[in-house]
Amino acid sequence: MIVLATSDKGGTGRSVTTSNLAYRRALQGDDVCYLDFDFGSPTAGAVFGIEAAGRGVKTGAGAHSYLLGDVAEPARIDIWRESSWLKKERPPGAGRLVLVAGDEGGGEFQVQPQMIERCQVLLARLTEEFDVILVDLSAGRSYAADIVQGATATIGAGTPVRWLVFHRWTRQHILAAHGLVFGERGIVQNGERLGYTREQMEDSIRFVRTAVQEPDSPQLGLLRPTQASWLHQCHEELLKLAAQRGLGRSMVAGVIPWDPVLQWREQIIRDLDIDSTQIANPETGQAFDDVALHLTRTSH
Amino acid sequence: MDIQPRKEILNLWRAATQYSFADGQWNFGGRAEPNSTGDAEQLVCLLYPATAAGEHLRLETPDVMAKDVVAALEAMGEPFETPERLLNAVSDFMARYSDEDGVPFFHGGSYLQAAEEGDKLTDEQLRVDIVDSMSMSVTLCLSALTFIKEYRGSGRIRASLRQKIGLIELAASRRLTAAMVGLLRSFTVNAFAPGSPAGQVLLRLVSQDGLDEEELIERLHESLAQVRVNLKSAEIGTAGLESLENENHLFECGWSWGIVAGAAAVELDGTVDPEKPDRTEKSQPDGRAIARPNLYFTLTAMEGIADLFSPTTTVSDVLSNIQQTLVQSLRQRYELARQYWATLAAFGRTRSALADIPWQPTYRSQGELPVNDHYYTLQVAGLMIESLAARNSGDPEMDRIADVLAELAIRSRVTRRTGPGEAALAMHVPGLRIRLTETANEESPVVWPVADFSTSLLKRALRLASLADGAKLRKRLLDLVDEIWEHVAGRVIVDGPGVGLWDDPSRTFRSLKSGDLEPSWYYTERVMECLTMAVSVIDRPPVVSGRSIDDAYALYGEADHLYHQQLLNGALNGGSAVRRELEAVGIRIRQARAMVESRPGTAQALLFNVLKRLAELELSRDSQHGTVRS
Repeated sequence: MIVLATSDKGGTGRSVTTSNLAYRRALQGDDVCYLDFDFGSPTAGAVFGIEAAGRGVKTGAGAHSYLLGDVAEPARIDIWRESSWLKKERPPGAGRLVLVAGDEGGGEFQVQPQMIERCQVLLARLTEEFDVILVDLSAGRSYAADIVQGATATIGAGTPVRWLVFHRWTRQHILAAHGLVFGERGIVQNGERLGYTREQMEDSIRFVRTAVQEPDSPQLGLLRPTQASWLHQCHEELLKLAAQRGLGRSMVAGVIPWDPVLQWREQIIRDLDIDSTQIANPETGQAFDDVALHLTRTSH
Repeated sequence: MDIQPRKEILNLWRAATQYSFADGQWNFGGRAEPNSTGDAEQLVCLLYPATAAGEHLRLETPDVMAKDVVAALEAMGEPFETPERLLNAVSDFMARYSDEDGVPFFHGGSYLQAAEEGDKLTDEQLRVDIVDSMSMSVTLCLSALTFIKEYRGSGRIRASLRQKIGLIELAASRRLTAAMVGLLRSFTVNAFAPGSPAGQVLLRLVSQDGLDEEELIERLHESLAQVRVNLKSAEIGTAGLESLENENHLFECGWSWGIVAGAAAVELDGTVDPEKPDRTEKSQPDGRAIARPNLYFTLTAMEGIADLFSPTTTVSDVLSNIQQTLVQSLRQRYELARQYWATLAAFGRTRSALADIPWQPTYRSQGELPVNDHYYTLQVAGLMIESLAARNSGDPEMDRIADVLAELAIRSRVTRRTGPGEAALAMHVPGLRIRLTETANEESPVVWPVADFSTSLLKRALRLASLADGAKLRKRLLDLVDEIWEHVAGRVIVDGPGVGLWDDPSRTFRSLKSGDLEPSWYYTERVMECLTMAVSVIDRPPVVSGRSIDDAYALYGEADHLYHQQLLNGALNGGSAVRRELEAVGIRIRQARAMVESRPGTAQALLFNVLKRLAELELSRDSQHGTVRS
């Protein structure tokens, strides 16, 4: 399965959430590959704690160079071994967890037909090896997104493609995410142009709400009653807005609560961060686990 | 008020879904084997609050379903699966209670009992259409149609599901039409000579002022003349109208227990709405019930019919043209029955017939206990309350009905402790047992058991509370509601398969043996109706008194005046802290003014605070001169 992670705006926590999903899914036993196609700022290395690829690889063998045709195969990094935050070995029962990083200083580029072809070759190869391939796209409409959507359209029915659209829980983010998916030249329209039906597209797209502070979340326990009451009202209005714009519960893959570790140290949340040091909230880990587990669930 | 309907409905939902939903599907039945009334009740427990309790407890819009609702329905799966699963159950119900040609039926089935203990009813006897089933189906089908309409507009639904929903909608609409036709044909009129036993009971009932019989009869004829005239035009499907021809006879009108023997078929040839196609019901079964109204079935029918012209139904626009025509005919009968019984109930100058507890039925079947006559008082009170609602009656009249309800609560031992072997226990267990009489000369061996005194009482009290205008009457009624609710809530099953559902009367009436702990959907559905009604009691603006509005205006006048004095004195020159304070005070005064009429108490609270803040500003200035006022 190929999972395309995107968002309309920057700062949604798309990369950090997607990385966590990859990590959790691998822990659940699947072989997972993380493909960093956020060419403007390939930061997955940093999130996974891989110093050599903090802002993309410097070797000129990243995903970006591969698409341009500079290398025959992009470099792969074994996250279990290379990450400074993990124990340098694959945990028992876990699947493989591999990063295909971007290039440092990569940047955007024009789409060439060969790139779609190369992308397709890469994805085809990866789907043979891995159960889940998470592709991190940059925020908004990008050439990388066009390339990947084009490449996945012809990859064959045996490999399901899912979209995860990340948005923060605010009015502006909801409207923006709606536009990215349902608007002019949005994901759905692009898909229709590539030969999918509208229903197929809608079935393949799910939203992930990030940094959500639900009115009953523990962090908000310190609010004054008046603030809490107001916040509850705001939350209800956002729920209605989301439902109107096609981002309602039936389209949601998960809700990631606001968490101090995600906020101040964009990193993988390990179980020890929850259980031992207790710097992260258990709800956050649970939310990642749930989304990771349901990634492959067929649509309802 | 102690009832918290949201919490209680959610608890009921949790228990009902945990009981009913297992292995991915809905299972019908409880204490009684599945039957057309009970299964409808079981579904209505979920569907009715979802559509009738305003916006509060919606189930059909999974995108905005509230968190606590989602948690309560956990047993049904993920929120977006709930509506589909519920509709599957509705679909199952529709198929189960239609014959091979798809014609819906309303058989009493396993709810029916043999009059003599030990006897067994034949299949033929069980296959008889009952008004209760028709009425419950009206409620169920309306809820389902409203539900479907909302669900359809709520977002993404697969094409295959959309098609299936269309079929369920068609089946529900068809059943609704059939139920309405059945109700029309169950309405009847029964006339009798003043000198007959029934005539004598009726005359004794209305004889509250010591008039001689001739004058009494004259007055009674006079008060009911209008009803009598209008009844003659209620021809469609009504048997027994010819009995009105003898002008000297007294009469009763209302619903019998089922379709009346000899009731003509109802023609359904209205203009067909292409969007809501109806199939004409060709096969309307012959009636079997005696042409004699029964108070219990009259009220039961009227409750279903009232749903047909409730605001929820009107707004959701789910009825076809044929159904609209049927609603008009049913509504006419509804109004006639209400007017008839309310006239009788209010009869008498010194004391109303209703207050002369208990009410005597004109016919009593063999073995009916006199203590159960209180059921009839309660039913007439219910009809009277609806009649007050229709004409916006004042509090004094409602006060008198509140007296009757309070008295009934005591007599039924709902709000009083019971002694051992008390006769009143029979009102709850086994309750009223109505014989399904077919002809006047022969007692029927079939009984329809009615054991809903406590919930019925609660419902009347809630309904009256929702109408009360005065704070005092409202409080009195809500206190009564709380007392009755304590009794009803005390009867919930706490252990066993039906945990969280009803009914275990042995928990309240200690002298009773603990009975069946499977849920009684009959009783549980009635509890749910009460809770939904409690929603409507709360879901209206608070009762206000003229005096508290006057007080609020006085405070507002003073606060506004002092505020403007401060501004006039140039207090705004006193720096940002003072300016901020005065700005805040100004905003509060405006907010309070907007609330004076609707929430005078809240307005007063805000204004007291404003006055205090204004006083502090003023007094602190005075202390500059060392002359602090005490």
